[in-house]
Amino acid sequence: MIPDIKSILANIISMLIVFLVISMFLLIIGSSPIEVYLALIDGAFGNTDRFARTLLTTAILCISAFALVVTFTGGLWNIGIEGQLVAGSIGTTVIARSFIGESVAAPIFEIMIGSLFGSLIAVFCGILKAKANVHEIFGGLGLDFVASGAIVYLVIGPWKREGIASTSGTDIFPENAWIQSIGEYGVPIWPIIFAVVIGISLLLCFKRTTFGLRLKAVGSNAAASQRFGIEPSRYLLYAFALAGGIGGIAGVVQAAVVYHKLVPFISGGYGFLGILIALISSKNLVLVVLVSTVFGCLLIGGTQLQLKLGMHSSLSGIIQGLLVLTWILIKASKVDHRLTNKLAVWSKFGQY
Amino acid sequence: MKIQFENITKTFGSVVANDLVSFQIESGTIHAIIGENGAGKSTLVKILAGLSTPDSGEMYVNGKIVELGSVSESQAVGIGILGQEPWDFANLTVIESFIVGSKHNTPFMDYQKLRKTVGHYCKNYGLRINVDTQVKNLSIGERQQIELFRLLFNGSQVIILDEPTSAFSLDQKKLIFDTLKRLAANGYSIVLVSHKIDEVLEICSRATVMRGGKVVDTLNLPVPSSKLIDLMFGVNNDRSFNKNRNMPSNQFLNISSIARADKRHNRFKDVPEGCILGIAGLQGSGADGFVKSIFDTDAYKVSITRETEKKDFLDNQRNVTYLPADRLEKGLFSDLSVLEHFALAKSHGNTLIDWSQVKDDALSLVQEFDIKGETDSKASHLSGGNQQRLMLSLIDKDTEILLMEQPTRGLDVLSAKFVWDKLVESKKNKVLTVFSSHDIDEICMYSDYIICFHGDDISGYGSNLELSRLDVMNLISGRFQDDS
Repeated sequence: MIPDIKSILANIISMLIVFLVISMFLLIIGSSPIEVYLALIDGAFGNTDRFARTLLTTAILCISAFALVVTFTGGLWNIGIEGQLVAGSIGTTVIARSFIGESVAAPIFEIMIGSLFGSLIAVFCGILKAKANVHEIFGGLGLDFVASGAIVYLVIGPWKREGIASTSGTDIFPENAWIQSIGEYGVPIWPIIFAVVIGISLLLCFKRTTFGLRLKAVGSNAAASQRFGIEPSRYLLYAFALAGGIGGIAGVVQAAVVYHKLVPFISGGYGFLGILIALISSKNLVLVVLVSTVFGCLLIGGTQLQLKLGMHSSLSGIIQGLLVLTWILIKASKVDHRLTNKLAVWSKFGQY
Repeated sequence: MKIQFENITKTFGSVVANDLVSFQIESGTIHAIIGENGAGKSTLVKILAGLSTPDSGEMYVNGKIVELGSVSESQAVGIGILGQEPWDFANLTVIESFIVGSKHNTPFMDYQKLRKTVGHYCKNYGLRINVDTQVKNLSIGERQQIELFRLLFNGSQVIILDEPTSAFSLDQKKLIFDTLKRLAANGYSIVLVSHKIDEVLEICSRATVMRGGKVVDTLNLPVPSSKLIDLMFGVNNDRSFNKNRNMPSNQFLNISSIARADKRHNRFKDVPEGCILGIAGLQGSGADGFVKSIFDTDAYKVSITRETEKKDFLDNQRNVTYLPADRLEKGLFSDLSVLEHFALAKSHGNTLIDWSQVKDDALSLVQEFDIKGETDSKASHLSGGNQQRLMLSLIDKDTEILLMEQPTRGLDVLSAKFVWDKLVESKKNKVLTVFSSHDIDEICMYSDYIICFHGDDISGYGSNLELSRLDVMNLISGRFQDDS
């Protein structure tokens, strides 16, 4: 138990340092940190509507970061996550615009097809790596461009609105094709359920199944895994298929819950943000939820900075960037562990 | 230039790499430092080149004391080192590589002058190359030659060669050796580190023999090669440890191998079933590659069949277990816990992991193999000995052929003994153990059948009754044919 307490303490210390650094930055640019934090909290939780939006964003970030935990565990850099999100929302739109879109079963098909589309584009990246030795970063990045090109083509081409071709998006989906929220303020119950189900499934997968352990093994040492009768390239494809499927669901949520239509920038950058979250959480699924919440608050609360304090809207982005950089610096320099050890020594002195 | 070592001592933890080393290198000689792997040769020349700082001792160049552990100081007094691999820049041209690290550096280089100088060196020492070609287009021998010129260009008076010929063809070797002879004649001092006795006898005029970190002797050459071998390996070349060893089985195996490189074919007949097969060879020889090839057919195509039946054991990969020398790099998962390793090894065919079952099995194996460490500690946190025990404990019960590269590399005496007890015990189950080692004692002590490598070639083989320790030594140092 003791090492656990120590690592929790180290994380708390890291958070305090991050807080301090951001506060200092805010002081330097001449604003009051307290005002900014209050505005952020108000913006994220101030009323039911904002709270619902924060929850929704957090859920999407969680799902996309979960996808990345899978590939990171397999030792892969899934930069193609954005493309997988986009593929998921394209899949959703295919269903929503078809005859199924009018039926009440539409959401189920949207999830299935969206997830499948995400999986397919990810597996393609995996095949490029396994068969043609294209590094997944290049393959993934290339496929991101392909996906964003395809979505623009679809929005202003075959799926354009009656009479006009505009990048503002396709026609709104029929209401049966929406994944509904609950209540007047739109509590996003389904995205939260998706995130919880995916999170718990992955937790079980990594803790209890042979597949999870083998994936971990391949990610840890592909050469050694061969000695254990594991074929690394097969597990590479499994990891991509699984991650793409999960990423696709994040795309489904974007299309069927958030926008109710297909827009060119449908991913909202949540895929790349998911990479950061998975990295900061160092593949720990519980930490992913916590970090996603922080980012969800910053994204939604950040809009209030401009409205309330008259600050530039980019400030929220700067705070996010500072958070990530400071965190990585702390972890790389092991400052947190050193401080924790010092704290442990001090507390021992106190006992005498 | 005359170099004098006085009581140089260097330790790495509990290992004494150099133990009160004292001797002299005269100017204008080619001086060999020879010894087995791990004798302390490389450590000593690293100290000479300033790449490593000794714990104690002094070094004098022409009677003047030299500050130790400083590359720039060593360079300033004129000591240059040529590594086992060329330390150059593959993408630069020959001329450019002269400019980089040149002592005569000015903001603007006089290309014409430099071209002349380099051309002069090449002509003088018989190297025919285009100085504007990229270094990577040259052969290893030519690159080493260029490196040598660069050292001379920068004013080195003492040239150290740390086993430079391992990657050379015969022609290249001759070219370098001719160059070295001429340099020595012109008053340069050459220090040649080697464990190849034929090379040393060919060009060196003096040799210092090291064993176990100590200088055994410094003597004038030539002497009979057997004398050098005795000094290198110690003189107890008896067969006593081979006595009273029964052949483990009256069933025999036929083993044959084909080298991928030159299609050379070898047949090892009458290898007893369930025996220990030792692959002897010095560092850098083909011995390790041979063991690995049995698993992945990379450098050799090996087949192992019983005399009575035609079936090749290696057709069924399931019965073959391969334990690489780099335990953490290739054998284990540094991020996974001991328990997770057991779960992986026993997981075939199961979807879910029964952790309580795995834990029970693991605890009994941990006890049997005496692995010190918690079952939830990561493999990277185990000591080398415990990593090797973990690897052994993970071996599948159905294993018929066990392949081990350097089974006791880096292990303490107790762990090494434990490993060998286990391997000898496995003979009862008719497991064929194939292992490679640089340690002749290990080879002779435990092998029932020995295959010797000199360089990349199989230089001899036979049962432990046919080959004495001296035979093995001769075979791996490539002196057998000449002496017999």
